[in-house]
Amino acid sequence: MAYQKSLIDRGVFVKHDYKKHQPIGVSSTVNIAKAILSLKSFIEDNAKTGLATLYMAERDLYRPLREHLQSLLPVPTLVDTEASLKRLTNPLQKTDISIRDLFEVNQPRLSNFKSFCFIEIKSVFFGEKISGKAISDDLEKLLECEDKYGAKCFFTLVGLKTELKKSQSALSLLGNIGVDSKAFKVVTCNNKNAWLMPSGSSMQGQLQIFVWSVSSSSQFPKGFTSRSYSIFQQE
Amino acid sequence: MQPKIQLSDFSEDYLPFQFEGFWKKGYCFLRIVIKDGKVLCLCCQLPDYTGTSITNAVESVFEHAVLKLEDEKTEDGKPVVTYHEQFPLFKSLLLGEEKHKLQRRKDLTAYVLANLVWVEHYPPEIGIREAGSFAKVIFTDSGEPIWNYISIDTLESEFDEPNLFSINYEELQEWPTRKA
Repeated sequence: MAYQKSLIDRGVFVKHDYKKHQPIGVSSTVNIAKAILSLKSFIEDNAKTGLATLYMAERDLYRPLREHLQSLLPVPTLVDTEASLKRLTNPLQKTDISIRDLFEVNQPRLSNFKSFCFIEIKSVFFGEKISGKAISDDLEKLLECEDKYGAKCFFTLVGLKTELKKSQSALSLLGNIGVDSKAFKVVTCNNKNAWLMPSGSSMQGQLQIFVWSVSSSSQFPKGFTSRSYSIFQQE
Repeated sequence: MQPKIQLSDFSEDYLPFQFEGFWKKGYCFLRIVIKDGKVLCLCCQLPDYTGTSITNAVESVFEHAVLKLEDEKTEDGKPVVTYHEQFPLFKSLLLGEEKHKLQRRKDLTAYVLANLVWVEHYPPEIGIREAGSFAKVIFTDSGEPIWNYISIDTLESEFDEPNLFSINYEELQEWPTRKA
């Protein structure tokens, strides 16, 4: 807190006689949930470029999403893929996408970094199968991330309409997909309570994407899908 | 004691609709349709427009839409918004006119939010999707906007009204001349 306080202390800005920081800054808000929906364009563009099929392996979705988030954030190097979650009970666990806190930007990339956002992705394309247990594991991981990192956590489901329909029973943990608009409680395989808040969807055509915010609390305050940054100019 | 709010049936297209952008005034196309107390707002990004987008300023566009409704009249000249409030004059004296007006605005905002379908539309070749897009934007209880992209066919199937989402794209081009 002392460090954060020092950053916004105008007294520190003005005492440097060789530099001048404008007291008026620019604020920008990045809506993470909405940014995740951009995966649709990536997959569709990928299909146009030769494969002519709406398919991407789950891990191939990380790179385009990372690049998109990098283009939105003030510092691109904050986004990681498959980072180890050293603070969790099982430190060998990895998360699909994470965004480190801005205060980490000048720190060496230690394993015990602090992130403000974690994204888990599950995909169901042609003939692929998804299990309720895999979804439950992801939700539990996100709950622990929220607890240990104080982070905003998102679960994302990407898939083809027909395949998602086939997997309905495995997806039952995710509520009434595409219909729910309020937060609802689910119980994971290990009897943990998770609140899921539908936070964005793209349901045009065959390719569908759904994003939920995941929390142990039923309260989703203003800004739960986004992160705001302020930038000050230096002269 | 909350005033009971009643909205009369109403339909209006605003081109351009003015709202507060991040740095300067923002403009968009806005269609407000009220039927049986339900409110549909179709908000469309304008061509050749470089101000704050309807996505970034969605909360601001909504706020200004509510402000607009406060002053609108139906074809018969009746106000679109009717407050069935007990002792309004007494309340106005007690709270002060300004505070009373703000309280009414707050109640109207809550009422509209509870009965609202907000549709955000980017015409083809405007925005990042070549084919354009339609998204239903839901405001959560905390006021956070949530974007749900759907096809026009799905959207139209949810409403009985024909041409509810039809926009004359050529007319949209005229927005800078109509601004004045």
